[in-house]
Amino acid sequence: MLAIPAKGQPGRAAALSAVSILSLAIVGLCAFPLYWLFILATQTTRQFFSSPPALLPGANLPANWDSVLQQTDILQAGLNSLVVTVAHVGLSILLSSMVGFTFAHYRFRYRNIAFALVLVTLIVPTGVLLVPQFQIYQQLGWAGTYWPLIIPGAASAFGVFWFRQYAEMTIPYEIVEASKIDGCGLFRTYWALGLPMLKPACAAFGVFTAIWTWNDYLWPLIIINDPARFTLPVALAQLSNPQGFTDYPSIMAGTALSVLPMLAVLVFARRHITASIAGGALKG
Amino acid sequence: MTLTAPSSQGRTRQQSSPVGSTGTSISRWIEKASPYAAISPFLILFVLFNAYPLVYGAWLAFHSWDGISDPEFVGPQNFQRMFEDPTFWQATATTFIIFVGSVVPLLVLALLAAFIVSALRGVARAVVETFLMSPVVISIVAGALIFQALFNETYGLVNAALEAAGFEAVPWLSTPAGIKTVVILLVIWKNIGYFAVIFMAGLATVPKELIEAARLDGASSLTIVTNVVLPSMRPILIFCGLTASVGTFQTFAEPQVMVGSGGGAGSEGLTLMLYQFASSFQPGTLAGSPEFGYASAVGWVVFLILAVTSILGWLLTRRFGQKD
Repeated sequence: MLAIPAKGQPGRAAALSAVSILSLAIVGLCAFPLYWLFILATQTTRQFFSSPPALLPGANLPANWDSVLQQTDILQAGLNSLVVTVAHVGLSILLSSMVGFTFAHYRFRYRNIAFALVLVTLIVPTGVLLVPQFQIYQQLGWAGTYWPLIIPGAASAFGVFWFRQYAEMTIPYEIVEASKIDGCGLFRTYWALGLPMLKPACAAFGVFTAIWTWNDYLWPLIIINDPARFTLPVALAQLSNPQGFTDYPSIMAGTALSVLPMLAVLVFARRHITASIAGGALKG
Repeated sequence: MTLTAPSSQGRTRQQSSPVGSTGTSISRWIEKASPYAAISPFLILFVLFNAYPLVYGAWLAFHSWDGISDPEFVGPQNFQRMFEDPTFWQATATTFIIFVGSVVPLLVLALLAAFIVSALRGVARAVVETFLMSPVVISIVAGALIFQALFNETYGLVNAALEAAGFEAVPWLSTPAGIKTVVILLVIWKNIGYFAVIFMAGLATVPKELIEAARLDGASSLTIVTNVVLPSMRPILIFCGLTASVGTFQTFAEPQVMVGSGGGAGSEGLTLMLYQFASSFQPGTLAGSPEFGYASAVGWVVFLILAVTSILGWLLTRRFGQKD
């Protein structure tokens, strides 16, 4: 697009330096708080209080780690998060892909109305549904369980959009029609034909949903009251101390551990994540 | 891609297909019903967890309910109480300030980042993209805890740097302006990468011929950006504007983690979402017992404010759009 001029063309040096400097600025601004997080996690409280503040790693990580484990059971919370994430992502991929596939390749009378309903869910903000949804979960007996975190969001509008678009673009209708002529019903076509062809879409959607579910804070905070069943963000939030004086290195040790899984996912699955973010928006 | 209905030939085939010996009428009924069956999970979830709660919430807004005894009809009392509560107005003001203070810088910086990263290739691009997105993939709680430490009044890095440069330490998390500033900075830092990715994809869709033509006409880069690129990206810009607005307007976790559910001393960090949350789920901070009817009314007010703001914003962009 606005690319750097090619070799030999005028303005290349200037453009290169401008882009390099600005790129470094971006990297610095985004990464510095995280860098400081990891530094702080290895320091002692005394180093935290020193001035000028130490910007290099210390050697206190094991002690900080022990200290944070005493304040809140992060490892158990991590496990809980894993359970919720796997369940939710699995169900979500299944339902969203099936619905998306159906919208893409099957004509039925109320198709447009049904799809309009999908759009409606996008418009309604979470805030207005907070209290009534909570009450519904209570009445269903789901309070304190993980069900509200797994089931309601499973057929998400984003997922339906995503899979419908992907199914339309990559699964030729001729194949689906051939399968219909062979006598395969919708479910069989979906399971044997559609789903395998949707695998890349499942991967991207899965990664994106996994990150989102892992990091979800509001609903786990509302629904779960038993500390042993906290998910990771909720357990982490217990460490917050607005009053100011507190053992920050140990808090940072816990925080550092909590961000590692998602940073790893980012490093390995970056393209999936950007595809989901961009694809969802460009279709919106 | 055209969809063709099963032709009469298809019907004939079906008559001889092995799908059940009961004949075509049942198998055709199954064929007609199966799309509905396939989308039924979505429909059921939609009705149960979207449509019904919306209506239920509206009903609740006119009742008073502590969650245990029966709801009691109180008419417009919840709304009266809301509009007479100075804390509500404070929360509204705070929410608006955060919204106004973060949406524009967020989108502008994201756009800038998108331009810069789009000019990179290969390893450099992968590395910069990864760093750009790292704030996005960590949990908001982690981000809030980091910022809480960074802006700690006595020992945080920001004040240390300020003092080293000869300025005075700023009471970040204990004054109205301070809390809002930190929340705004956190919101911006956390979300730049997300919108930058969207803008990068949008930049890639700008027709290259238009840019080439403009260059051949001798247009400067700035002119190309304002007259070719940005107009091409209008739908995306509008979409991101709306998304960012809806998101920042419902700011909840940032202040809740950094200064507590009450919004900190004097409720300076209280946002509308926090206000609603505190009314229903953490009653000790605001009122006595949980007030689900009242909280529901607050939720609906937020929804209406958002709806009005979105429509206004959309109309504004239409007006500006008609200039070109």
